[in-house]
Order: sequence, then structure tokens, then C-alpha cells
Amino acid sequence: MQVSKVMLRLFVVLIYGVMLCPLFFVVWLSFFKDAILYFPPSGYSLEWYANAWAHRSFAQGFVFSLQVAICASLVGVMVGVAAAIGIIRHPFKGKQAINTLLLSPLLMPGIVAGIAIYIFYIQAENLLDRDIVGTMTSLVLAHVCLTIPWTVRMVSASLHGIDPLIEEAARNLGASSMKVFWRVTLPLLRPAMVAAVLFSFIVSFENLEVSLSLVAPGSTTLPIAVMQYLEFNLDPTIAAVATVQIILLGSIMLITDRFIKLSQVV
Amino acid sequence: MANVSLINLKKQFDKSVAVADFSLEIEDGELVTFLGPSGCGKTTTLRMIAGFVAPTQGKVLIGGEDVTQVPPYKRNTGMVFQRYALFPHMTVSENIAFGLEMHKVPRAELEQRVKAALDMVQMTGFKDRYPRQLSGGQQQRVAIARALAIQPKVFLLDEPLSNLDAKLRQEVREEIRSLQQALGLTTVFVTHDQEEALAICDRMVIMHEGIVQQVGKPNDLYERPANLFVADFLGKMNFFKGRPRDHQTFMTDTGITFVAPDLMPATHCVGVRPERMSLSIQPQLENSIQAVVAVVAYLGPSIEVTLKAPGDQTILCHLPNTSAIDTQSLQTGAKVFVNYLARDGVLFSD
Repeated sequence: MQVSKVMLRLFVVLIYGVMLCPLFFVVWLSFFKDAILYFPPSGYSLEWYANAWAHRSFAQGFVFSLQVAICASLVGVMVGVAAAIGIIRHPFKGKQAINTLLLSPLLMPGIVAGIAIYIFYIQAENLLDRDIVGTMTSLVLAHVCLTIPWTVRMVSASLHGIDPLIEEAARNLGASSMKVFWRVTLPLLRPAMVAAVLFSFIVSFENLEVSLSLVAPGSTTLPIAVMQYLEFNLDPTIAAVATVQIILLGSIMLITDRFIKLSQVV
Repeated sequence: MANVSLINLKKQFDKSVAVADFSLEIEDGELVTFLGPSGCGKTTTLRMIAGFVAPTQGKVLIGGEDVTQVPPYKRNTGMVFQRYALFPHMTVSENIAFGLEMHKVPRAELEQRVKAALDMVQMTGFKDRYPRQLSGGQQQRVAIARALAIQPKVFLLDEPLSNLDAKLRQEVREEIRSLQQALGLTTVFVTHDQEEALAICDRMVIMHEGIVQQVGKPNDLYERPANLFVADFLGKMNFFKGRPRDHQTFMTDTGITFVAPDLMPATHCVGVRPERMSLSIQPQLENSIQAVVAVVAYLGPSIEVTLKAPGDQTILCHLPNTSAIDTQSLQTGAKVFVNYLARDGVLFSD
């Protein structure tokens, strides 16, 4: 009994160790003094943070990624709610097929999806005779595709847990379908929607593969800016950028968790 | 309040008929229970009155007005559900106020009516709680208040007591009945519990496989069941299958003969309620059947004795648990006579 308990603890610690190890090293590396990495470091400094700040493409990429991620996650959650209500509440033929289709972006390699979307946009450009590739709207739409599997899944799971009788009771009390949606269904879905927005935001914010073929020169996302920097430099600036990103996303999650228990939704 | 007319209602889901040709007049202020085993169509009928299910055929009239095509939110029925169905994100008062807001009741009147509804079900002290902070019985009281606050034309209850424990069930049942009578509510109460149905209603409808078996007052249905299903579903009954020998005597397939009044050639079964039978060592009353005690079950208020009569006929007998009861002779294997009055036999014909 005692031995098995100790073993279990050890196992748990090991798993957490494996999970947190990369995070720990990224943060640690960002404070190394040397431009070329080696152990042990000759000292610690904050100069890479200053360097990241000075490097304008990071700041621009950060702002652009933020804009794209906010738009994509908001649009994505709206699509997700609509799709989930259709799938869960209204039985129809081919429902399972649509459900699978909505999850398909998860199954496709990002780079393939990116190129496919790029070709689609080019065709559309030729047809409509207007700029599509490189616009923010087109990038947001591509990211919405990526977020849909998450939003549909999370909202569906939550909607599944809402007794349809509750909506029926509202109708019985005199609420039209729209009123039922606004006053009953939507408030009950709010925790799931917040979680879906958060996940979508992260999925969009850190996406590299799909964005790669869709951004225009001069307006790149943060992950692309990081990749471009890495092509010519190998100093801890990247670690500093990553640390800032980890802290930012981590705090968003912690703040959200104060209002809505994410563990209950996800 | 209003009367409700159901005219030739029919509901078909794909190929299965859930409700077949249901017609009923429910009077203003009357409480009617729909009773039947699960899947008999009672809930479907209720949902057709509420408007959640569109009938395949037939009409629903509330207060003389045809509402068959009217959506549920415009029918002004107040419904109470088995699983309470309170809004989990609203407090008790907000739950009750919801219907009033939907009906655009002015603020001042709304507050008054919420208060009155809370008083009505003795939940005033809980008005700021959320449903999850209430017990099942309290939640169902709130659901009742919520349904009645909108002053519905018809009060609909779909197995409202099924999720409550036995003691609470009776308590809430009595509250529903006294509210219904005090307010003169036209009410339909769906249940699968026969005792509940008998105790609460003015009239009851017994359904089986989508078909109405019998409509009437509780004692009519219990004393004079129209068919074997009603007799068997409502309480217990001993069935003696056979054929009449003449106008007065009936002979079972197992060879027992007894007296029964007003026999008709088509009579194929005589039923006797277990509580209308008594046991004795010597034959008594007009009808006595010799039998052997098989099982004695002590039920508290009564003692249930299962006996075997010749020809493998099983007879169930309920004896009131009085101090005079002779438990000594009620031993398995004891030979006794089962006695009952001829007029207590219920005749079933084709």
C-alpha cells in the first residue's frame, strides 16, 4: 500500500516534470547572458528582453497576432454556438457528417491547410478581381476555420448538459424562440463560450503553419516574426519573446478562471 | 380559466402511433388525470395541449378557441415538469418573474405577483436562492409558483411528483390539489402512479398504447372497470376466465362455479377485487371457493394472501389487519374457503 502510494506520487511528479520542463528551460534561457547557448551560463542579464523590445518586428507581429486572434476567436465562437445549437438541438439528416466535417481542420496538417486556403484565395482573387491574400480579413477567416473544431466541441458539450426542458419551460412561460435564446440558452452557455474564446485565441495566436502562406510582406504574425528571426540568429531573444507570451497567455487563463471555472467546462 | 376540448387528437411519430383518436372535454376548474404505463401517450397528449407537439390530426381548443396552430408561447398554459426545469442561472424570484416579463406585466404589478406566488407555495424565505440551493420539493414548489404566476388558462403537470420521495410526494400532491381548488384551475395531471391519480382528480383518463381505455370518476373506474386492462392497471383484481352456464351461474375454465348476477352470453371473465374477499374455515357468503394458502405477505395495514384454487387458479386476497385476524390458520398449505358477495363480481364481455 505504502509503496504503491509512493510510486504513484513519483509517477505524477515525473509527468509534471516532463510537461513543465520545456517551459522552465525557455524561461531560464531567456535570462542567460551569452549570445550562444552553453551550460552553465557565464551570467544572467535582461538584455535579451531589451533586444526583443528593440526589434520592432516582434512588437508589430505581436499586435497583429493579437488583432487576428481576437477577431478569429470572436467570429469562431459565434459560428461554434450556431453550429452546436443546430447539431445538438435539431435532429436532421447528415448531422453526424456535418459534425465530423466541422472537426476536420484538426485532422489536416496545418501546412497543407495553409496552402489549400492560399490556392483557394488566389482562385477567388482571379474570379472576383480584388485583393484577398494578405488582407487581415482573409487571415482571420483562415484562423476561424482552425478555431471551429474547438468552439463547436466545447459549446456542444455544454449544450448537451443543458436540459431541453429548461428551454421548453421558457417557451411555455411566453418566451419566443429568440427570447429563449437570449434569456436562457445563451446565459447558460456563457462559461463554455468564454472557454471557447480563450482556446480559439490561443490556437490562433500561436499558429504558424497556416499563417505562413497567407500573410503579406510587412504584416506578419508573431510566430512568423519569431521564425524569421531564427533564420539568422540563435540568441536567447526568442526565449525572451516566448517568456512574455507564456506570461501573457497564462495570466489571461488565470484571470478567466477566477470568473469561470475552466476546469468545469473543458 | 377556461375549458379544454380535445377533438379527435392523433399523433403519429414516423410509423408508430403515439396517440390515436383522443377526444375529451375538460370542464372549467376540473382536474383530470391522465394515467397509464410509460409510452401510453399520456405525456404526448399533454404536450399537444401545451403546443410542444403538433398533432397529426385533430384539434385542441382552449376556452372555445382553436389553438391547434398557436405556438406554445402564445397559448398561456402553465406547465410543471418532472425534472423541475427551473432556470439555473436565475434566483427563485427571477424564475417566477420570467413569465411575467414575457407577458409584459408592468414592474410594480410584477413584483406584487411574484410575492403573491411565493407566498402561495410558502417559499418567500427562499426568494434570493438559486435552484441548486434548494431541495427537490422546494424546487418543484417554485416551478408550480412560476407556472401559476402567469395566471394560465390551463395548468399542466407532467409527472410532477415522480422525482420526490414518498412522504414529500403526498405533501406536494395535497398542496397542488388545494391550490387547484382554491384557484379554480382547469388542470391536466399526467402520472403513472395510480394511487396519485385516484387521490387527486375529479376525473381520470386511463390510456394504453395510445388509446383511451376509460374516462370517469375514480370510484367509477375502480368499481366498474370497462375492460381487463383498466381492471388490472388500477389496483389488483382476481380474474376468473370462463363462460356463463345460465343467467346466474358462471363456470371458470378451471371448473369452479359461482353465482354472478346479470350474466350475459358474451361474459368471458368475472373479476373480484382482493379486498372484497374474506377467508374462513367453513364456507360463507354466496360464493365460496375452496383453496390452499400458498403465500402470506404482511403489508402492514393489510395482509396479502395468495391462494391456489383447483385447476391452478391463483386467487389474491387482501385481509384488513384487524386484531381479530386469525394468523394461526393462515399457514402455507392450510385449506380454507375464499368468500365473496355475488354483487362484488365485475363482469367483462367482449
